Amino acid sequence: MFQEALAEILSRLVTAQSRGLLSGYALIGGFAVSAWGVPRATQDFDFAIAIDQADPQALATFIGGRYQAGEPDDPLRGVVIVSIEVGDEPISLQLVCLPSPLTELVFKHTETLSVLECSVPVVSWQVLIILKLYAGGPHDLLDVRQILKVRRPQTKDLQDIASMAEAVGVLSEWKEVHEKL
Amino acid sequence: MKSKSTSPVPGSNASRRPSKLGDMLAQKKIDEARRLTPEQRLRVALELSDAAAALHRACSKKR
Repeated sequence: MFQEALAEILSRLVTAQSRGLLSGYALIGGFAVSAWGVPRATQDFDFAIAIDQADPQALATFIGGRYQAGEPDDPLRGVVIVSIEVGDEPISLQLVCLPSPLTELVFKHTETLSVLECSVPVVSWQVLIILKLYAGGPHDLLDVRQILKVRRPQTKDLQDIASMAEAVGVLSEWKEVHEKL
Repeated sequence: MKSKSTSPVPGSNASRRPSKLGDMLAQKKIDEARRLTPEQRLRVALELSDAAAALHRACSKKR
């Protein structure tokens, strides 16, 4: 079910990109954590999207979802919420518009994984850690620790993460996690 | 003033006695994950999510 949903989501995103409705997409959230850390079940798909000057409402209409803009003080710019029907089962998809500095980071650091004949752009594990620190919930911090344990980062990785954390304002959160490693 | 929790993990407790067995099991999970490629881990997550959804459906219909 989730495999079919992923194929359907990627097909819609590829078409949306070819029509200029978005300029990039990358898997984030629970499935990205699974790719870089310990695999676990999750309930939905989260993708970061870059839309540049495109209209998020037009993207939402094309994808078959609805766009909800963030409040002026919301850490997220907006999200397209979609329900993908696979058989009789709906699966949730969130297309997340991050603030510009995070969007830049995400799309400078993606890796394409080949899964079940699908090419899936996935945010790098280093940037996924930054996104999790930015989200800041208890489960996000657990995810950060698990990713670090699985990845066994080298000194250069830790320096890169610190540098990215500083650039997007989560350096203190990173230091707190790093000290406990 | 906003107080800051010393432990961000719900249910965790600084005075909790650490379990060597628990640590060993957690380490085993990490070691198993390390043996897989990112593609394999993503595929496992898709399968686990299918299984969790099927379980949820089966339990929901039983009432």
